[in-house]
Amino acid sequence: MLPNKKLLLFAIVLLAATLRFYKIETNPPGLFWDEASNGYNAYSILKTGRDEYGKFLPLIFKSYNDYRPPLYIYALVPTIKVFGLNEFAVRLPSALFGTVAVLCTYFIVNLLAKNNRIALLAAVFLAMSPWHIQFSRGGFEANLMSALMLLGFLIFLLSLKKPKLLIISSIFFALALNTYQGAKIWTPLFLIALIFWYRNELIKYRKLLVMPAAILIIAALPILLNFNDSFIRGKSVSIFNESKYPLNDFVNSYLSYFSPNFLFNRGDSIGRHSVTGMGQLYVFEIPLIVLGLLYLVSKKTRANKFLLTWFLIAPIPAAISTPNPHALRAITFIPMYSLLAALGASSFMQKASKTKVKIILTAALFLIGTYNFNTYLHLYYKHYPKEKGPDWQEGYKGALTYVAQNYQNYQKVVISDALLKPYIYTLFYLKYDPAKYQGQSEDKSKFAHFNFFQGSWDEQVEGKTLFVTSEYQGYPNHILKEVYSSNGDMVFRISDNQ
Amino acid sequence: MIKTITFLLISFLIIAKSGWDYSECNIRTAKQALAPKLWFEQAIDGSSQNTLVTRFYHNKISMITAEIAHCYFERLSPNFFFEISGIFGTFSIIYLLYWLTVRRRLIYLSCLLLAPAIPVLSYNLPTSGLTVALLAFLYKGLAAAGLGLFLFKK
Repeated sequence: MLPNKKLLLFAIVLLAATLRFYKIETNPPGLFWDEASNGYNAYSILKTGRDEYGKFLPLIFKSYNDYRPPLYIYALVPTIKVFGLNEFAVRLPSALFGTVAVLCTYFIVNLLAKNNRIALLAAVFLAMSPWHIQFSRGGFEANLMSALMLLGFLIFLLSLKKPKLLIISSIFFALALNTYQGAKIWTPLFLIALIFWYRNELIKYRKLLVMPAAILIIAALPILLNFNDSFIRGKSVSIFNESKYPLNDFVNSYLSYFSPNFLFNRGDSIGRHSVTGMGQLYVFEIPLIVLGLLYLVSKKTRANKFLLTWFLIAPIPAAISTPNPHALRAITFIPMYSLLAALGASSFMQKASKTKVKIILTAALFLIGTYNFNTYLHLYYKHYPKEKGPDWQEGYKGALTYVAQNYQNYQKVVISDALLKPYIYTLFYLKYDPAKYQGQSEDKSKFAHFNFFQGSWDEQVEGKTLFVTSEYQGYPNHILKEVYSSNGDMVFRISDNQ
Repeated sequence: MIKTITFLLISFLIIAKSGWDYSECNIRTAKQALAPKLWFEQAIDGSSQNTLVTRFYHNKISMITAEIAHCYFERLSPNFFFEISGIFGTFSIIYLLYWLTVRRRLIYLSCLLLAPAIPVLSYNLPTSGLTVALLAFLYKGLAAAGLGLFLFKK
């Protein structure tokens, strides 16, 4: 690799890191309850070796009404040890592995396409992908899973020349399996596709497959040994739950992931998954992705056939759940679109014969791309915190920071359930001693002298009481503090009965 | 013989498929959405931001283009193909698009890609419904054509 290409790759990785780390503790605004739960459980593991329910080093974590895979929580233990229990520590692994995914994509594409330019393009498209940035900046387990899958695939490709690397590849796939709910469907699907298209090599090295197979089986044990609990979440969001026409619903869901409106115009309607005003991808990528797809279909190499298989199976884990389309559950799609855009760009640069036309079209795409990217940054940093605060439970931090400084002055602290799951935010922002909490963790309506309520405040009075009520609830007259969101709306009112 | 029977059977399924979304989405609805959207975006930017910057990111041209694109993509989407013609019809339409592209039948391809613009150009609910129905039957015909190409002339 020539030095200037190394420099380009370094610049792309630096861009990816900047876009993923810059102001990560304040944008997204607030901490989603899954992030708070993961963070507190990691803190509990760090302090006591047990989760919030007192279970010693669990292989599956109970969280609200379901059970989640453990890896992201264990990945948080060192970050919380170093940085403390805060938003930055909770989001750090996702941002870090989001950056690693960009580097992986470069090497994967370089190995598959044997073309450094396409690899660099794929890396830059992923680095600036709104879909990928969105999930790299939140504490999303799915993002870690996606990066681990890419690492596993990269090492698999390297193992085609050095078969002993299959063991390391299987370790990464095994880790991915224990990172995110969707991995229980995605990992087997991906491995089946891999085994099918690379079966000749795998048959040649079949004696070396024993250890990787054993690693994958061992990795699957936490799921198999807790089978019912492992699939509670899957059953609760399955499209087959109450569907009259399950096949029809599945096909509709599956096709929604190829909808141009979802991809380029409106994006996912869930506030945590995209910015308003644009799709999951940039508009300038439309012609590139179309060209890339045509290239994949027309050049029938094994690598292209595998990539096409990946493209077609990526939405399956998301399509069997609701709602649809769901950008997070389809996270495995993202590297494919970056690759397609890169293939399309390269294909265009090779095939466009008239230099003047090529220059004009390239300039037009570059201008539109620059405008798209700039608009995305504006929407993400200026609009997103103001529009999507409620989706991230913005307000808890402001309220509970005040509570943390003053709760010792009160006999009782009563916190509204209006924004949901107040108990986990109280534990998180107060850094409540996990050893004390574990014994009383089954009752989510209260712990110690903290109560979480839905009805009227005056039913909660017990001596000197501190109240944290939402904007729409009644409250005692003595107001101590009002907590506002980024868009200026009041979220909480803190008052007492003095 | 088998191919002919398959073609006739699947074509019948495609044409007989009923029930699609008639909701109005055209230049009229795009214009209606424009004012509140523009106000909302500019309110978030606030008066402290330079007006040129605000207009650079939030302007009538880009917003109305996005709204019209939304209407266009509603009718050029795999979900709409599926609503109109079922799974075989969806596959057939996509195959037809692919075949026209690789064979560089650009005029036919352009017509196919311009067809979803017909409902966008309607001006009220009844004409919107009529144009959507026209588009639906056009798609059914194209699906049958795509199926024929796939079965008889790859």
